[in-house]
Amino acid sequence: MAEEKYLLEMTDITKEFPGVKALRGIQLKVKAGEVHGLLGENGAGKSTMMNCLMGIFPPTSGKIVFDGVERQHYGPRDALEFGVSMIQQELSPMQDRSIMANIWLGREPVNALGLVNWKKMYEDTKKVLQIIELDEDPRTLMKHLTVAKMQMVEIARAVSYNSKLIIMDEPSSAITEKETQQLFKIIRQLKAEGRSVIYISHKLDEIKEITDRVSVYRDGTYVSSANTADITQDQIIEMMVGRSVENLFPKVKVPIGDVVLEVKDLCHESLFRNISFTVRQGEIFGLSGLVGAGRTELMETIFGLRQRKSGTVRFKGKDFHPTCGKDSIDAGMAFITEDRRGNGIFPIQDIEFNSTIANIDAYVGPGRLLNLKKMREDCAEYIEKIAIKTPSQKQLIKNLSGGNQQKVLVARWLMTSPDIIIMDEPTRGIDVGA
Amino acid sequence: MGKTKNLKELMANNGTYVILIAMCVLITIVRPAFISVDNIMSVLNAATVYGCMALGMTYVIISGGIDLAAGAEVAFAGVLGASFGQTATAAAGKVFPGLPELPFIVPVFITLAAGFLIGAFNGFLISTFNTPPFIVTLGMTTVLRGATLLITGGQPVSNLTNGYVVLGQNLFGVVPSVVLVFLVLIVVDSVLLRRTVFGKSVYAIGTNERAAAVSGVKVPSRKIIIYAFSGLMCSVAGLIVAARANAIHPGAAVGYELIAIASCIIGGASPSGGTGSIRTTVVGALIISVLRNGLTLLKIESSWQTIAVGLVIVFACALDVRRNSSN
Repeated sequence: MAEEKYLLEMTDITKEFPGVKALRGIQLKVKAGEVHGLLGENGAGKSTMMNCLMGIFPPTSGKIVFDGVERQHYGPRDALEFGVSMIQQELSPMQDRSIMANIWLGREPVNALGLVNWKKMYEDTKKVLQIIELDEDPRTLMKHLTVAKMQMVEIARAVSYNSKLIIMDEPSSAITEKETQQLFKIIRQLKAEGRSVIYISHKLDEIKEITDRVSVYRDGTYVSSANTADITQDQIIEMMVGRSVENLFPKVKVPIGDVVLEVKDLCHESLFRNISFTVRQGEIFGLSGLVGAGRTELMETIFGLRQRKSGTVRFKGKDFHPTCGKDSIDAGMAFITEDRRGNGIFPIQDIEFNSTIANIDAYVGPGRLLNLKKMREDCAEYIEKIAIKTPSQKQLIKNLSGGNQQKVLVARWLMTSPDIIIMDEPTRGIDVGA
Repeated sequence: MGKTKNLKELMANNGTYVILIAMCVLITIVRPAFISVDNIMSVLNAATVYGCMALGMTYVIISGGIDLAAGAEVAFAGVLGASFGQTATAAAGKVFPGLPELPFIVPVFITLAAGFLIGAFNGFLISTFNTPPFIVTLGMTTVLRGATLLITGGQPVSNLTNGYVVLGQNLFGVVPSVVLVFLVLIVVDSVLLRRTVFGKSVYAIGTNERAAAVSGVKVPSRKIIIYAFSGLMCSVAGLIVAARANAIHPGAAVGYELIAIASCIIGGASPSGGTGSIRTTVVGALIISVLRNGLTLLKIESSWQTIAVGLVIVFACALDVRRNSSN
């Protein structure tokens, strides 16, 4: 077979952060015009690798060849110029500016006087929006768009740069199923135009549907690549976790006890109506629904972070009406939130702080002073118990990988010895069998 | 190579200490009088007013906020308290002419309560209406300056009772009592910040407010306490201002909030919240005080001193940005 031609070749890439080796000699090869799936648990190094590719930070060592040229020492701007763009998982557009201002940011077309040529900008924007079939006026403000449409605008921006490679980091995590189908349509169209897409997702059915090939990573190392059509979902999982699937979640027999939580006719002003369910002791209760169905909001309401309009919640046989997170914690409830960065971790504080903060009342000693020694010991105990990978407990949590950050959050809530743990989308990176 | 790395690390971790010591050594070489006990006490004494303000400001800045009303709080609380602390026969018009001479505890209590309540009100506005601290405290500055003028009719409040005189002029050995007050507050505030649930919640709010709420921090009520605490520290500063001169002018402490904020930032607190400590703030305050003292010893005019302090503040902020981006 003839040597295949690749659009992108990343070989032997390593990346070290202070105290952490995030990438250990990984590789990635993407052909022109293919949709390439990137798989791996959080902490496997996918985001780090993409940041290296985008020039957000340089790899410690390794080679990046794009479009036949070796690329060295470049920044995000250069990456955009030579044809790579990235749709971030968490979009951060300028909400108060128009679609066209967002697309042409920093490279607005100018007229002879050096002033912005709004007319040309408007026309150009119309053209790119047409390509991706987004029916919006270029002057619409970003804040009036749905998350899915903001994503489309990001894609339009990538198209406007004439990018040969577009990286999409978990694009479907914040949009509905219907919108995802729309996204897939655009991806196929991009592909038809000869562009390549790197598609990062945890949702294996999507990977199966949209990608041509996949590469799998684990703990900062490269596992293997394969044609999507040739492998099954189970095989992919096996590559991702390095064990076979059967023993991944060993089911422990736990006697199911009395009702712990009883939610009845719970209503919110606008977000959800008449929700009722019960959870028994020792039970794992699954709550599903599309994004936007109000799951997160429902759980936040039960936990006391939002105000309910009507309905009752009974917790451990008593009427439960928390007005803030503290009430719920004191009652024995724990809440691992969906948005780890938004309302989970305290990035610039150390692991010790992050793990003990919810349980802090337990360390108040004589004179209302905190027992710092006990806090250190407990933190050390949990680092060992749930295998948090870190050089020291004084490490700032932002320096850990996503999966390890999540483990610290699990530690935070286990320390409060809760009777019930609410987990909102915990699969956004977790591999603990706790 | 190894050596430069060590130096770099030393600077990164203890940069402000190194700068402070280097400044002291340099000034001592040029003007040996710097290192005398008297002069050191005067360095500390000069730092007490904005130093006290900076202690409270440290809490506010770590929580991700700012208290621009600090200077006005000093003046208002100081003036209001002093109005109840004038001698029975104050020569130049009393604020409350009919008022007999009250025990010192009364003006002290009124000063502290005024600062605390004003701060609490700031915190209330900030947490209840979710208004930016910058705007709320900027507005309160004007309100308080106006109120201060209203109380005093624009005149200084003078002829204060013996309690003020003792606080302002008494020495414990070689240590002025106001310096002693400052030192005690440093210890108390440091313990409060490092070793209490309240202290931890200040860091939690400043690092990630939403995560703090989920983790059981009562954010609104904590914020009220944080600003009340800043107000309280300002009222101590107001008490010291009045005690030192045995009088307090309604225009006292204008612009001091900036020196207090600068002390925190020079020490290493980030204006974006989540970092900082009492220890580093004190070092920051001392750097400013040593700088001013050294320039005075070098016979450099006070206008130039002000310019120098300003430049140091800008430089320190630039360093902070670098520190953060290198992480």
